[in-house]
Amino acid sequence: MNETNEARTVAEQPARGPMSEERARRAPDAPRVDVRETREAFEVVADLPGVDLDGVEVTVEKDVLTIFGRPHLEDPAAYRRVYGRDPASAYRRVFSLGEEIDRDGIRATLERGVLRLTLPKARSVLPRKIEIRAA
Amino acid sequence: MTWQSAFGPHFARDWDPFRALDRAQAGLDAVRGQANDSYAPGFPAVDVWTNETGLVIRAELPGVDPDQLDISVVGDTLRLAGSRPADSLAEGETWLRHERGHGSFERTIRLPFKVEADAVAATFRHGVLEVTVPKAGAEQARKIEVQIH
Repeated sequence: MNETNEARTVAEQPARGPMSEERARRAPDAPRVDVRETREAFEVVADLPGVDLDGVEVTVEKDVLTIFGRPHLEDPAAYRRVYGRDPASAYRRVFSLGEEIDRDGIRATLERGVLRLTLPKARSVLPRKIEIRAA
Repeated sequence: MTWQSAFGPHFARDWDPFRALDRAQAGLDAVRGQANDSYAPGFPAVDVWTNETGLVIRAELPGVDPDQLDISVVGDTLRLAGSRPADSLAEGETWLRHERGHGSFERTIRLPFKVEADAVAATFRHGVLEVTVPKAGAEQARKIEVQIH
């Protein structure tokens, strides 16, 4: 499984809620990720603070896996910002998938702003123990 | 000549603690060579908003268990501490990417006013902490009624 910098088409719905124009125009940030390879699968964990189920999208198109998240963060009403910077308008990270991944078996969960993806390895690449029978 | 112009435009403004914090943070980031490095000093990144009633502080803490968060106000200082457990590898597993931070963190923020400590409220939604810090009553602007006898 490799990462690719190539941006592919993802449904880019307009930002929800009041958001500065400058922030809405900004390109999506790359979220921090962990990728772990186990015997049976690849596991991808991405930090998407402020993103809820309505704002997250995981797509697989041919060999490209795209993680996209739109944080549901509005500035507090009737306050003015005095410190910090605008949060991400969106998060996006793109990976290219090898043949070894079982596309239909990909599963995802989202909890406390953390997306967890499990990408099972195809049966053909799983280690197999060959049973030896007495001749 | 006013006293302000004698000291140049720099002193014409009120001292702004948040601007000072910003400068200090920018200095730290420059020294580290990387902005917003998880679990280094300065994590989590915070945003602060204010108005005449108090301020709102927001911190991005994805994956943190809100029960493990410790938010306290002592004097004019708000302290935010917590931790995120490390994911460990089982035998035969490897990291292909390992960018997310883990461990404990602490951040203190000096507040520019006295606080109504009992009225500090916090919410945690989708990995984002938001703390509302109201000014103590005496600090809020008061309208003085003029009594005519």
